[in-house]
Amino acid sequence: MRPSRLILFLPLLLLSLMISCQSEHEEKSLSGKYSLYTMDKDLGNTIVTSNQIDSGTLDIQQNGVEIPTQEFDRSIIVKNGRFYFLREGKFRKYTLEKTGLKEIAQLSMPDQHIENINWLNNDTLLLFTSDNKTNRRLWYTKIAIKSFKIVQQHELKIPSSAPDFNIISIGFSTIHQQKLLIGYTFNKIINETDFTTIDTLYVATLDKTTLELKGIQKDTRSTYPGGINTVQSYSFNDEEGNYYFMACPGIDLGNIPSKPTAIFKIDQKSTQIDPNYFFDLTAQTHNHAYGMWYLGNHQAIVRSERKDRYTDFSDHHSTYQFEYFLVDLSTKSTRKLNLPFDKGTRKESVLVENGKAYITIDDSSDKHQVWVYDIKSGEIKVGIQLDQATDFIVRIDRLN
Amino acid sequence: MKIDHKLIEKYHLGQCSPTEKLLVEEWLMDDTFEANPIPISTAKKNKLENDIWADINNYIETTEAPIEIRSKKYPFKYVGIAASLLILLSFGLYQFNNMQEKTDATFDNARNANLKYINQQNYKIVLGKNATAQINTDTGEIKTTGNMLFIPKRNFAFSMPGADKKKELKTGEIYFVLQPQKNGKQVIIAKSELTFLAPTLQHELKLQFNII
Repeated sequence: MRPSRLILFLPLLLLSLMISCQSEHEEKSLSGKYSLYTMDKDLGNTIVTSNQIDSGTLDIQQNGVEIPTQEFDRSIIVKNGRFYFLREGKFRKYTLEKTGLKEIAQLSMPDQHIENINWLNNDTLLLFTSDNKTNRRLWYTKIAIKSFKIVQQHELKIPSSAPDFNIISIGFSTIHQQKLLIGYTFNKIINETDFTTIDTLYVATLDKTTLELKGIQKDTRSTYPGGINTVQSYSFNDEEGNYYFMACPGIDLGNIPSKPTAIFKIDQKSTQIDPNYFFDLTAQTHNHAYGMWYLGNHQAIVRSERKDRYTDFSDHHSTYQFEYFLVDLSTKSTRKLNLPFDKGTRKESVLVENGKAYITIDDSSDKHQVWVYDIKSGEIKVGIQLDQATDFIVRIDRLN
Repeated sequence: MKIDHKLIEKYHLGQCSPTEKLLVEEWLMDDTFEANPIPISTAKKNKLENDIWADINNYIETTEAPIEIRSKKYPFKYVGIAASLLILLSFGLYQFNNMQEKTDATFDNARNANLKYINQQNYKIVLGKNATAQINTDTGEIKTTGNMLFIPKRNFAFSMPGADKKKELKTGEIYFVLQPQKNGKQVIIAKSELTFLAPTLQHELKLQFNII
């Protein structure tokens, strides 16, 4: 009796083997040119890569790699086929494998979190980190990426400005006129779920080699310069070497909404904020914006919220409210792009390449797709589309 | 590995590795009291004991003659009935208590500036400093003063004061239940959604619950 029973089960066994082989067979793209980081409806995270993003579809479960949310979040750094993340006191380097991110190197950086990063070149990364306990101390760490070694590390002493504003937020860093410029501001906690920002933004000038503090500029036209740039971009250089950064006092960065969202300029020949340049976005859009990406020829895209659509910080991310504006830095004009409302607070949702801006949008019809904006013609078309297991596409990066 | 408050916190937040989890659970089940013996000689110890007894004896009253109480005899039948009633009653009480835990519960940490960890049958919570919480798993209502972490052991549909619709809380996720805002609305945010809050607020909440 026994052998015949086994024979009965054999087809079932074969079938299950076939199914498992088939699912193994599904294409998991690991080294595509582009990578998309998603937060999913099942509360998981996924990285999916693709060689093109102009058209087609991707299934995040079949084509993507599951990323454990206990270990990672969307602030992961993506560069030249590698991923970087500061976790449990160590700055770690990863490659993407079928089973997940595989750690290949690590550096000890205890009790810190990343406030800002700056790629000086393909092999040199600057990290600006703050201490986890007080969020007030600031470290500068220069890392050689290939050998994964710390080249230089210093604590930067930034003087306080008001005694009750004792949290520091670093918004940008740039090497400008052979000096290191750091944009920052200070926050204070009001109660367990509320905070605000001082009404001033600051730019510290340091010697780029010795890191000696040379001076501090103040500007009260707006506050909260930039933001954590591993989550979203807020600054860039134009073709002439002028540096632009945005100030984000809206509820989801500075939380001092009486100040305007504005773009500031540091002229190529100066280390000072241009006192005559002030591009007040709020005056034109009547809203706050977070995120800015350079298109070239003094044009950029900003991601702007709609205060008439959300209630407060609790539904800011889940509300379909974000609009993309084309801004002209020379004429200080804005034009809304014809795109559906996007959701998700602060996203690295724009990638500019080869005359095109790829904009990821999670719209109210539960579509999660890339929109392709042709910079020259102004034409907009739909690009690659992700399936509905996706909740948010939180970043789009050039991976390889 | 040593059991310390950090490991216990990790355990309550569901962030322990299987080994750590086992270790904490063994430690929680272990009733033996670990303490080092007092480092004094036996002679000194005996003297100390005698001294303490001598002190206590001064306060012990000695009765002159013991009073005899005659025990009353009850027929076995009545004892049996009483015992059965007692068993039934205590079983009922136990069930009632169990139901209380399942449906409606109030937790108080109002006078405590530290976190309070509570493990219920269907969920775990971490009450923030000076926080109180009322949780009704029947009606799906949560009310808090102060902030709380809510870790469901099964899927729940919960509603918060001021919210129009119920929110599905899933096992395997940690939820931040935040104190009522200015508009009276309570906020509930999954840990995976924390990344959408302003960085200063994210940091403050992580500090409050020691999850940095």
